[in-house]
Amino acid sequence: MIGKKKAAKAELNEKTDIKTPVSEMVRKFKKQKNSVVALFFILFLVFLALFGEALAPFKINEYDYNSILQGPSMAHWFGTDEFGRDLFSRIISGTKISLAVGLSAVSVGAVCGTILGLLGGYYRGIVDAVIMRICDVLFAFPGIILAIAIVAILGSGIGNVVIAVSVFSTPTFARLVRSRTLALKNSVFVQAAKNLGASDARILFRHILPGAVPEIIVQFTMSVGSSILTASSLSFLGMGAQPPTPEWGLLLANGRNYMMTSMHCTVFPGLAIFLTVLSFNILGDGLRDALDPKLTD
Amino acid sequence: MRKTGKKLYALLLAMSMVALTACGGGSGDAGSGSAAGGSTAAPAAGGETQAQAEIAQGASVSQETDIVAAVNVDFTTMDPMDTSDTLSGGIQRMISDSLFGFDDNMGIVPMLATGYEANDEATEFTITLREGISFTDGTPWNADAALANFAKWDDESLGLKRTTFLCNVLDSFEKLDDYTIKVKLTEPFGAFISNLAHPACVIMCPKTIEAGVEACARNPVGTGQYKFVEWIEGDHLTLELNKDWWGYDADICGGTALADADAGFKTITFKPVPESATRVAMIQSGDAQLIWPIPTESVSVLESDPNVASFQGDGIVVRYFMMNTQKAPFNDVRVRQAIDYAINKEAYIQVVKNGLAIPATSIIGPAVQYYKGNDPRPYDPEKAKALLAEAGYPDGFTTSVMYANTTANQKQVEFLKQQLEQVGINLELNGLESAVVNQKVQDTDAPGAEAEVECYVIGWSPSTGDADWGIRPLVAIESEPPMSYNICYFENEELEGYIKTGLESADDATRKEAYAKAQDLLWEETPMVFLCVDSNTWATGAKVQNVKIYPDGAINMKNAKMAN
Repeated sequence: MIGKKKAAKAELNEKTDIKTPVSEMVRKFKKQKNSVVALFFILFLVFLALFGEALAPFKINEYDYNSILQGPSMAHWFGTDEFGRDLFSRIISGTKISLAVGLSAVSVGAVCGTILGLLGGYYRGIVDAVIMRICDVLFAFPGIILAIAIVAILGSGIGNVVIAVSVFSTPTFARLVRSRTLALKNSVFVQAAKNLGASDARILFRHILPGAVPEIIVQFTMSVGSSILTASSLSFLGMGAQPPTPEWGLLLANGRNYMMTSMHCTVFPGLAIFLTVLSFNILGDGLRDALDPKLTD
Repeated sequence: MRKTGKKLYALLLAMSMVALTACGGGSGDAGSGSAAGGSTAAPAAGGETQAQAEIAQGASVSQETDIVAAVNVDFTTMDPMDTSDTLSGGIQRMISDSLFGFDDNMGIVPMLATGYEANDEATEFTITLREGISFTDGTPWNADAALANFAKWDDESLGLKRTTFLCNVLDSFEKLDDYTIKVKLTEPFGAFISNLAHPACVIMCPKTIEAGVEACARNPVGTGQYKFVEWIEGDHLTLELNKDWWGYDADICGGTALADADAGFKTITFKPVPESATRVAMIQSGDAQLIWPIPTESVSVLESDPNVASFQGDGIVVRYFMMNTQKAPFNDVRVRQAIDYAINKEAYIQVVKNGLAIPATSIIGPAVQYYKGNDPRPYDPEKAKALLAEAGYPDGFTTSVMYANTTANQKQVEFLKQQLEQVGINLELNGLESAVVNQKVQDTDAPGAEAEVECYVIGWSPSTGDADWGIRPLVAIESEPPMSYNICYFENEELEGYIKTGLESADDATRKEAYAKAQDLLWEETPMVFLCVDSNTWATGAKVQNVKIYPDGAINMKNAKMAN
């Protein structure tokens, strides 16, 4: 979605030939070949998430006890699992779960974190202290441990994984936005808006927030990758999606039992997770370079 | 604020650690009669224990004749009366003997006793003891030692897990002479001798019993073929061959010795290795000379390895798909039979058990005393649909199965879901952590119709080797939760009669007939689908020979040898 909008705007900008921040960003981004490839791969994943299940050659729970744990073949591109289910169909059907979990969890985290960061940075004092100390405590835990603790309390299930991942991605955004807010708070245009009698809400969301958007976008992209990884890890540990859902981490956990005899059961889900997370990270890198005003050509 | 926040999150962290530990638990494969053994013991913290473990390991490595055995769960206790897992029970049977024991086929043989006489009502048993035996600490085995054990079994105040096993039936016990005792029971109990052969009734040294439950649990002394050396929880347990075991002495055994004293090794070290793949790697690399169980997925890998011998033996663990017969739709026998027709047992064995099981033909396995087989219902989805329609469910129904979410269980219920889908039954999978499942299914005194459980999967291993312990805890009215495992809430007066007859008679023919009728009735009524009888699997390094696994899943190293 974001990519589409950007592309459309870029087109518009080239025609009118005005240098806006967005056109500048697109220009810089295009130079990062890796990131462009990653972007296309992510668009491909989005396509799979939307239409994958319909395109899959087999139904996700269609079993065949006569072809259990078979290696890759023409009929089954990625081989079959312990119930003779087609792994290729299961992996592409699982795309939407991983993407949905990653995107929704980080979106929630980003919105909460941004609001908290803005409030903390703008009002300082006790509000800031409370928010930032809570963030510090959350930061003290490795993300996965925190997620496990939350899921252990709430119970397993994909919905709770989303909550867990949102919680641990919130402080990153809060800290990031707070530091931008602190910097922008004393800038001339904010002071001017204040003097003109603008409300706090208007100052925060119309004047300060846009200044933090580039950082948020970069952090968002990076977080999606790690969130997908965390969600998969939780499913792998049996705390996330429940069988027979074709969630990638779950496929990997199942395949682990047959690693010695049928390697394809772990290799393909593993590759899916690896490539997806890698793409989001490379895309994030590219966006950071493109959005950083300090980096020049 | 800061402080409370920290405390709160410290609590969270602690909980997460608990969660992690739970994840690491064994896959609790055999939910045996003594219910599944998960690894409960956390590795002891503290530098001292760690240091001890290292020294001990160093010592064991230097002994060339040492056998390292890798097993799937940690040991829980060395007190037989406090043991609910087969693994610990197996070790206890090596350290000491019981009055009566099993041969390789679960037949009853006299061990520390030489025989018994019972009255017709099965309420009085006179047991003669074997002479010339002493415990490994020198204490002689005689009537006084036997009575000390009976006193412990009858002592409810100790709060041991298996206390109810015998204390309700034991009335009084007395010494007739130095090697004869007489036991009176409160009620007729035909399976009494079989129960004495249960691993819970392994004899302990009276001095250990006197020293208290902690000594029994941590430092057992017995009459057995192996002496207990040490047990570092979470790391290893070491036994040493007892050269003076009475079983090597043909005179004491009454003719032929039970085993050959020249075993070719001195010590055995058992190591808990919950991760199946690691156990397989250990035997392949030579780090272990004995592993069990083998994960079904790895059997083919080990079979093709020339340095490893893998084995498969008859088991007595039967797998069931239980249905709550007090709740609709399972209160209709046609529905239960339909489900039996709808599940392809051959495919179950191939897919879920990797071929390492045989179809179940009764509620108990063929190796259990008084077993009587029936013809399995064929796989016939059409007939299943017809029966469902007849019962008023032409479009099937939705139900849910509760289970402890181990890898093995997971695969099993997924298979059952696929099968039942074919006849229109939607089986919802409700997998929970095993402690939670126990709490929801077992620790409830709600009557069957109000119980939360609709369906349940369970495996049961009657470690007495007798039909009574394979039937009564699963389908008798007295065994409904929270008392025992009648999770079917099956209530049948005719069956109660057979169970009572079997229980109250000491006469072989009477018991046989009662249990045959009971098994026929259960087969017809189908309170649960009888899925399969598990095979036991184990593997040894090329040098180790004659290790067996008893049908109940405990290890048998009586004739073990190590070639040089």
